Amino acid sequence: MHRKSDTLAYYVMILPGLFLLVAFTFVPLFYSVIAFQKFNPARGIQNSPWVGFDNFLFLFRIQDAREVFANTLFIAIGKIGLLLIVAVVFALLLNEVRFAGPKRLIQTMVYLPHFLSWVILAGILRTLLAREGLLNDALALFGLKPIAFLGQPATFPWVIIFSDIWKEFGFEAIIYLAALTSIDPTLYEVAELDGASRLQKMLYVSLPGIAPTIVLVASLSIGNVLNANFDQIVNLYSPIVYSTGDVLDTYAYRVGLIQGQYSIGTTVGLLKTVVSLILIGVSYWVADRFANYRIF
Amino acid sequence: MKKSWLLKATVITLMATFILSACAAPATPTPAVSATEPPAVTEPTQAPAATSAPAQAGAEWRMTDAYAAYPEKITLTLVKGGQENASLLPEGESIEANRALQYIEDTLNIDITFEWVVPTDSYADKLNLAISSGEIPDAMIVTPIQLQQLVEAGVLEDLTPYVEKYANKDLLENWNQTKGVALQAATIDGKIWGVPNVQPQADAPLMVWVRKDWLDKLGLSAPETVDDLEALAKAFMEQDPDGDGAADTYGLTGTLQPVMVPSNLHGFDVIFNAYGAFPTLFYRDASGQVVYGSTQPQMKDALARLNAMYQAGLIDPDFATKNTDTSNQIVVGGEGGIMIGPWWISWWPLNDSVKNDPNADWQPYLLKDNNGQFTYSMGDYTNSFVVVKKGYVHPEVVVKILNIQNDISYGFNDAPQYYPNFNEIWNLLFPVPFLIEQPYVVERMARDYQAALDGQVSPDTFGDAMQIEYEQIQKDMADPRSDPANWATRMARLNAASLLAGGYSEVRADPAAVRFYSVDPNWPSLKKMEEEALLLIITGAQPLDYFDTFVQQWNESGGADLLAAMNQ
Repeated sequence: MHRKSDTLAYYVMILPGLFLLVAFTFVPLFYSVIAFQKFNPARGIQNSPWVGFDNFLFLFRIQDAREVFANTLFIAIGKIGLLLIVAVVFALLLNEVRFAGPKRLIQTMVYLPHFLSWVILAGILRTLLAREGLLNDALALFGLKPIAFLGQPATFPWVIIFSDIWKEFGFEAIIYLAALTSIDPTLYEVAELDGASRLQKMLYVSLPGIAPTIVLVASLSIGNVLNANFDQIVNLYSPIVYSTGDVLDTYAYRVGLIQGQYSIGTTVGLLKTVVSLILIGVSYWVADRFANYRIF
Repeated sequence: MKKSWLLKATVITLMATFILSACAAPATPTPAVSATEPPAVTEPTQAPAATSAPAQAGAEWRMTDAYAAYPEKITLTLVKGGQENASLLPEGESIEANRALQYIEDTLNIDITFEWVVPTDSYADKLNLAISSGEIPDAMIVTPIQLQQLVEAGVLEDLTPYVEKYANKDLLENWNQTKGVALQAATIDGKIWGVPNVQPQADAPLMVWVRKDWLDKLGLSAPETVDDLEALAKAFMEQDPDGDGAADTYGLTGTLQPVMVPSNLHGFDVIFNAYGAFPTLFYRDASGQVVYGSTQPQMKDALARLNAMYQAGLIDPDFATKNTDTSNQIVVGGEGGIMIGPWWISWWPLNDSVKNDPNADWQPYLLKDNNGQFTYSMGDYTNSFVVVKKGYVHPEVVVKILNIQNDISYGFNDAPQYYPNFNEIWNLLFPVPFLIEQPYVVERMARDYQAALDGQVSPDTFGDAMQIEYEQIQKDMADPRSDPANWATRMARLNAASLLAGGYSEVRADPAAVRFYSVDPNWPSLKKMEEEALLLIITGAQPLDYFDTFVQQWNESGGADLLAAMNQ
């Protein structure tokens, strides 16, 4: 039983964070109203003319918006899906490594890239994937022609997806490794008595054991299907791959901040926020329904 | 990444423009004021303004509209960036109180205060915030888009009666040299709403810089046309100019931004220009109609040529994903002997190439177009304006301040030049850090240097900054490339700028165009379409005929409407 004065201290401790959240997340939300205006900074929000849903209708009409929306979905879903598979498989395999030393070493190595910023990684990737880069040199050994990985629309989204997975799978696997350790060891013993092979133990004990975690992670990531990772793409893309690589965030950034069309840029951002809000709702419902996970 | 070269470009341009203070100055005796001596300030209580700047009181120019002091002291509020550099000012002086500012205040009998002074980084944000909250100072410097927005919001004072009346002859002459374009840029609905700046024009024409040592080694001659350039690129790739026994040298370099006016490092603009195409410019064609350069039929020929060069491997195969810094590494690292860029690239990045290899004898050349003429896409004369808040009672005061600032820069009208490091700190000293320059100052200086070398004028007539440069030029001529800094100055100021001084034809954007496209909601899409199409066609990812598809799409997606609006 906590006394009131105890809990009060916790609330006080939350305050600075709460203040920042309100100042930088909630307050700016109100300024989204410029999505419904033909915003002129010199007139301000009060005096800029209201245009209703014109900006939204404009976005629905132009081809750019469709393209950018489709690119975002493709890249984000590709990342979420493949990352899940790669991380689960990796966790299952690593779990089978018997020696603690190599196991820890591998785990540390694969989650290191998670801590590097995309600005740095983009520089490395550009060099690695150039015509005369390491990867194309390797392809040349097999007699293959060099591929402009970052310079052609067909390959660009895959570079984005795979480089993101390479960066994140080690970190993501930690959750599954943690779930694996919580599986009751007696289950393995029983399986062994029944004559199960290692592969069978993995498939029939380990995998079902972490299934709830997989479902949980999968459902919580539904809220992210419109997040294709701005940092990563803005550091790697160029106009030549706009058709497959331009996503909602990069588009909103160029239109709103580079070209100064605040209303259109805000509309893109607001659309994304609304859709994401719905998706997050769905994801919590799914998580509650299938993984018994509740935050409220 | 991009920022770093932009910054350098800006610094260099500013250097370029400010050195001119020296060249334009007639041999006026420097006022006997040492840097440490406190400014001669008259007692503020001593009211009548005409007597408050004692040295020139009664001088004839002082009585003209352009300089007349106010009988009663007036106040003017301004805003300012650059706070982080305030330590460059002499001891005891500040942005809010320095001798240049004091001279202006005394001459006109005004009191200038700053509503806020912030670091350069936050200036734009702070100004935007001030504009959108309606708390603008009496006067401020704005972009063409802000000008448009402020005029639309009706918060500016009409400056039509004041600009030409109160500007002194030097400012009028500089505007005049833009053939009226500067004032036209400031005019909306027949009224002048801002005082326009004038930028030096030399940055736009792109040159082909070539390693002469490689040229000589292969027994080739300097390039004059696109054909020559292509042959040169081929020779540099295939004939091992660096002599290491491997075919490891690049032909042409490029970046993901093949067209950008002005100052496009590794840009292909000059190749488009050779075919009579002027991409990214809304210019008036022979019939007087505004057309968009990127969608003109001449583009197709130029794109075909670039594509052929790309397919032949003469252009860096990865250019479409490279930024300026990445492509600079090719020339700096000795892997390429050709770089396209403006007149100043010997200062950066080519100086680094010379640092790495003192034999790297980069020389600039101008390319002729297919009619044997020199014709180039030009940048804007004007890109910012000083505006005055509606209701401010003495709108003309900003023009008067600009007159005096110009005098201080050039040493005209006995304006005192207190500061030895003026070029570094002018924008901190001046209440309105804003330049109305001679548009062709770089070319003029090249002629002056050449005249001094030919013995026609004495370098003693040059101002300090020009004398320093002249010494650098002479040193490098005596011992070429022994000091990359001297070499860079000689190449830029003498060799490259002299090429421009030889004259060329200009194609420039209609000054009103920016006010149309920058607020058109379709513009981001149109721009995206264009950037994408050019790169796809050059790299062959789309066939040449895709250009027609692009033009059609461009017109249908709002481009045609945009042009129609401009032509109304």
